[in-house]
Amino acid sequence: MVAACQLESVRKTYGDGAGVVNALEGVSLVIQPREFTVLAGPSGSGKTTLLNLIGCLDQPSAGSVFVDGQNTSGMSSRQLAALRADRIGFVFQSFNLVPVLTAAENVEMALHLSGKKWGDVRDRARAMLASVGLDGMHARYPNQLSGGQQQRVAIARALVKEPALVIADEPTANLDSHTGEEVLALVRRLNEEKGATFVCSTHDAMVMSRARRVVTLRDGHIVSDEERA
Amino acid sequence: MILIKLAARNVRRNVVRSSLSLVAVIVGTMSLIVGHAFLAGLRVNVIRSQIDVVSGDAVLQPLDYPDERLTHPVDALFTVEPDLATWLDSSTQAWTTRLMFVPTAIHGPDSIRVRGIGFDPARDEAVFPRDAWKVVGHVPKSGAEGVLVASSVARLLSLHEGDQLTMQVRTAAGAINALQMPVAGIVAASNPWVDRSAVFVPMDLADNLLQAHGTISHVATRLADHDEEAVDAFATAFKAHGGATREVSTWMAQTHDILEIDKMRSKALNMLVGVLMAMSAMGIANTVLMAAYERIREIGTLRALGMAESQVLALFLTEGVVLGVVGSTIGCAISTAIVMYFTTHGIDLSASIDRSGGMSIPISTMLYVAYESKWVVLAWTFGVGIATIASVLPARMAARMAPADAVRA
Repeated sequence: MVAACQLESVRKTYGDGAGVVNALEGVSLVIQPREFTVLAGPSGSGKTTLLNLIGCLDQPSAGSVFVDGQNTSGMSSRQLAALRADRIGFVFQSFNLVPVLTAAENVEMALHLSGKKWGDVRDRARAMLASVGLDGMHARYPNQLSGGQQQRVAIARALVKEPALVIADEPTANLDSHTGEEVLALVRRLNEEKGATFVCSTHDAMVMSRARRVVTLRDGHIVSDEERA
Repeated sequence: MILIKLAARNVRRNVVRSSLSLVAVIVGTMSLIVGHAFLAGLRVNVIRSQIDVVSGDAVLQPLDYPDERLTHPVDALFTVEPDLATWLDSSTQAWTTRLMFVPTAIHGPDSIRVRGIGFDPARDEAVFPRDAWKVVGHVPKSGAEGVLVASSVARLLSLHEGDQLTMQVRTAAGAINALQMPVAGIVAASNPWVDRSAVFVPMDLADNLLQAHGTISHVATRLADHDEEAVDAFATAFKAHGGATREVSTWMAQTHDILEIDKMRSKALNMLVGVLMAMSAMGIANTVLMAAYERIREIGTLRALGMAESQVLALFLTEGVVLGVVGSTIGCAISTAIVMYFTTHGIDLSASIDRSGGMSIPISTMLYVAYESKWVVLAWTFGVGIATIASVLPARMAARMAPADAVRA
C-alpha cells in the first residue's frame, strides 16, 4: 500500500551563515492511509515546519517528502499547487474561510481548484456541509457562523475533494473546550467513516488523547512515536 | 467563473476605497469624452459659422485681400463675367456676390466704424442661411427699403426700426461719400461676426454709396459637399475661372488659425486627461496593493487550496480590471448622457462672448457639442487598460507570496 505521506531524512533550515536555524534535522516518518496522527511538542519544536513540508507548502532543504507516492522534491511551484489542489486538504487554527464566499462557495472553491470533474459541484458541496452537521447553512457567510461552525465548513472544504491527506494545524486552538470536543469528534468520525488520513499538530491534551498515533517533536527531532489503541 | 465572482465580491468588500478608485477612473474617462465633445463642438461651430456666415465654402476675392478684421479695401473691385457666372451656376449649389466695405455709421451725435456688407437680396440667403437670425423689422429686398443693422450696432447708436442711419464711406475712386438710409430691420444672428459690427446694405444701395459701378469685392459659393477634398478641388477650378487678379480662399484657409489653436487645445486636454488617468492608475494600484496586504492570509489559504501563482495573479488583475470596467462604463455612460444633452440643447455663449469685449470672430453664440463615438471607445479602452496595467505589480506581489508564510500571517 502506498503511504499517504513519507519523509526520508528530511532537514529544513532557515537563514544562512551565523543566523542559520535548523528547524528540522534528519526527520523520517511514514503515515499510512486512514491514520489519525497527532504531531505534538512544545512551541519551536518543528511541528509547523513539518506540517508545511507534508502539506507541500514548503520544500525541504535536504531529504525527500513523498505525498501519496509522489516525490515532492524538485517539484515546481505550479506542480506543488496542483498536488495540494488534488491530494491535500487543510484545516487551519483560524479557520481561514474566504469571507466574501458563502459556506457552500468556500467548499465549492476547493472542488473548482482540484481540477477534477465532480459533476454537480453545488450539490456535492451541500451534501458535504450536511455531513459535517451544517445542513441548511450553505448560504451563510463566515461572519454569520460561530467558530465551531466555521471550523466545520473548513473541514468540509478539506474533505470534499477526497484528498489523500488532511493537514490540520491546531484545529481546536481557537474553539472553546466543548466546541473543540465536538469538532474533534467530527474529525474522528470522518477519519473512520470516510477513511480520511489526518495529520494534526496540537498542544491540546484532549486531541492527543483521541489520537491513534502521537509523534512528539523537540528541537527539530522526533523524540517519540507512540501507537495508541 | 469562480475567480470573476471572487474578484467582483472583493471589489465590493471595501466600498469606500473601491468607490474612490472608481471616481478617479470615472473622472478620467469623462474628461476625455466631454472635453473632446466640447472641442469638437467648437470646431464644428467655427467651421459652420465660417461657411454659413462669412465665406461660404470658397470665396473669390481680390488678390492679397487682407484677412484682418474690419479691413475691407475697395480699390480692387471686380465684376462677375458671364462665363464665370455660367460656370458657377453649373458648379455650385448656390453663389452670390458681396461688396464688403468699412463705412462710418452715424446716428445723431454717435458714430462708429462698422462692417458694411453689400449683398444681393435675391441670392444671398441661398449661400448664407438665416435660420439662426432674429430680425426685428425685415430684411430689405432693395436699397429703397433701407438697411439691416446688427443688434450691437443698433444698441451703440440707439437705432430702432424706421430710424434714419447715415453711412459715410470712401468710394472706390477715393472720394468721400455719405448717404442717409432707413433702418429696415435689426438683426441678431447669434454670431458676433455679424452682431458686433455688421450693416447689411442691399447691393444697389451699396453700389450707389461706394460708386462701385456694378463691381463687387467677393463671390461666395455654397457647395453640396463641405468636405475638405471636395472644396479644395472646387477651389482649384474656381481659381482657374476666377482670373489672375483674384484669389480663392476656402473655409479651411479662413479657419486655419482658429483650428490650429483648437488642435493645441486638444493636445492640452489630452495631457490633462493623461495626468488624471495617471492619478486613476495610482488609485487603482493602491487599492489592489492594499487589498493584497490586507488579505495575505486569504492568499495563503487559496494557495494552500491549490490555487496556482498564475491564478492568484489573475484574481488580483481581475479585481483591477473590474474597477476599470465599472469605472470606465459609468464614466462613459454619464459623459455620453451629458454630451447628448448638450448636443440637442446647446450652451449659450452670448454672455461670455459679450464679456470678451471686441471679439468678432465667426462663431455661433449657441455651442452644440459634438458626439464622437471614437472618444467613448477610446476612453473606455484607456480606462480599462490603465486599470489593468496599474494592477499588474500589486497582483504579482500577491501571487509571489510564500504560501507557508502567508497562510499563518
